[in-house]
Amino acid sequence: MTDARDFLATDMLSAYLDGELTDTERAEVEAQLAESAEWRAELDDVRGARTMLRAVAEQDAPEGFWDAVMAGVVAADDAPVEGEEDDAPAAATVVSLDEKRRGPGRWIATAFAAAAAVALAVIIVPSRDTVKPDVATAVVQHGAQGSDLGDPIGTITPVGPLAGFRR
Amino acid sequence: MTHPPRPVRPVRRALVGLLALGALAVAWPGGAFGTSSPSEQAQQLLERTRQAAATHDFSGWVTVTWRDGATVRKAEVEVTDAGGVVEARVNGNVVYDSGTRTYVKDGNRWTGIAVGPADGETPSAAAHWKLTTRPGPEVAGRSTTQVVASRRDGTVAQRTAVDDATGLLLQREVLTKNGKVERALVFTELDLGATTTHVTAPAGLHAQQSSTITTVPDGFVAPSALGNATLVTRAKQSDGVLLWYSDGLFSTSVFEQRGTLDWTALPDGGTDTSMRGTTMRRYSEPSGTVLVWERDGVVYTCVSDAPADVFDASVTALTAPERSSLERVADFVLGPFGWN
Repeated sequence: MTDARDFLATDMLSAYLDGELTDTERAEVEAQLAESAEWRAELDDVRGARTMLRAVAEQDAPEGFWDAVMAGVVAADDAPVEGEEDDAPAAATVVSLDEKRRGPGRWIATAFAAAAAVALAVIIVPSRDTVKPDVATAVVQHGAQGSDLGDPIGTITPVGPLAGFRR
Repeated sequence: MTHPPRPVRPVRRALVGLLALGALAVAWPGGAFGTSSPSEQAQQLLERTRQAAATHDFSGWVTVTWRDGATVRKAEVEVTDAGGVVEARVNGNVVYDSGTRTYVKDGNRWTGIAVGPADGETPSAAAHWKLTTRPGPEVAGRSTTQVVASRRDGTVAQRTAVDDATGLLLQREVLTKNGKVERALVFTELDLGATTTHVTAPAGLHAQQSSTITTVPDGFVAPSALGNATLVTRAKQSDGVLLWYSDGLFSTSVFEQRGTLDWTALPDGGTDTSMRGTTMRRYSEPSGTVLVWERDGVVYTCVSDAPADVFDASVTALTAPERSSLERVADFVLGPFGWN
């Protein structure tokens, strides 16, 4: 029981919403939700974030993005935790959210939250326009520009593009 | 047929100015250039060709050849110049240059291309190239004088043959550093005299708009020079900016558009290459080389008639050492807000 409650954090609620908990775990979560307004508010937050994420279009992360994120996760996980003691007491029977946030698993949760935040930023930030260069027109314009600006050679270059440009 | 020079006539300059050379050619090489140096004589000859196309009507056929990887391609182009309007036809397609506008007819579809006026002086070719002249080959039955432009290391970059009688440019060869002809055009037939163009661009044609600007908007870059080529013109278009560079002999156009390059939308047949860590798509076309790439949220489409080695060296000003993955993530996330 105690072990299970150690994981009663945001990811636990997320798993609860996904129906991924065992019957026992689900019963524990529901009991906690029935007792605590704080847990219910947390559940609402998780549900809202999931809804928002599902409402936006998927977009591939840029090359190297996940490598950079995971490098940050590893660095955060390895970093020493200020004030953390090796002989921390065993988890209490009932753990408040504040305590949960200060608990030993918080760095993993923090890392996941950071990754999720960055992913969310990537998804909801306005995407750049996709550019489809008109290469054939660019070639013709180059020739025309050169001829019109007094380039003696460029005068004839507009004849080129139509001679064999790929479609 | 000879016309008085027109103040705003672009395309014709190259082909019509040759008549003006007529009297000059008679005296060539003794008195025409007085005591000027060989380089100055060559420069003067090139400058005169700029007027030739504007003062002569002609029609003819041009053979265009270009090296595309290991393949040498060829096209036959029908060219006419009537009253300053130049028209080139290839397999039913037409490029129609009326001066400030160039129209392209591809099948039944017309496209209008705006050409902005120059806002800077085109530099002298002699400043960056060693120019010499010598008797040229006979081209389309006409005697010519050849202008040879060499790199600093002595290798020939370009050979042009100028009609002795008219000053028209009759042949042009662009060469690699190894001496191979990279691309060439040569008149196989040339008839001087009155002619007419066959086509007229349709009224109401939607044409691209272009306006000259003095500085480029934030997010775009406009180096004052690309290698030895000087920035001559900046123009704003509906979808980006156009920069035009010239070293007096070759020119490079740089089209910049904000956004992410859709590599799948590029034409087939190009080859991928890498320059200073930047991946590019390269095309070899009859009139020049094309490079397309993306950097820092800007898509570059560059076209140049210069030899590939000269072009490649010049565009490094628009590339940069490869950025780290983290920098690219920051660019991607923050770029739309202009935070990076």
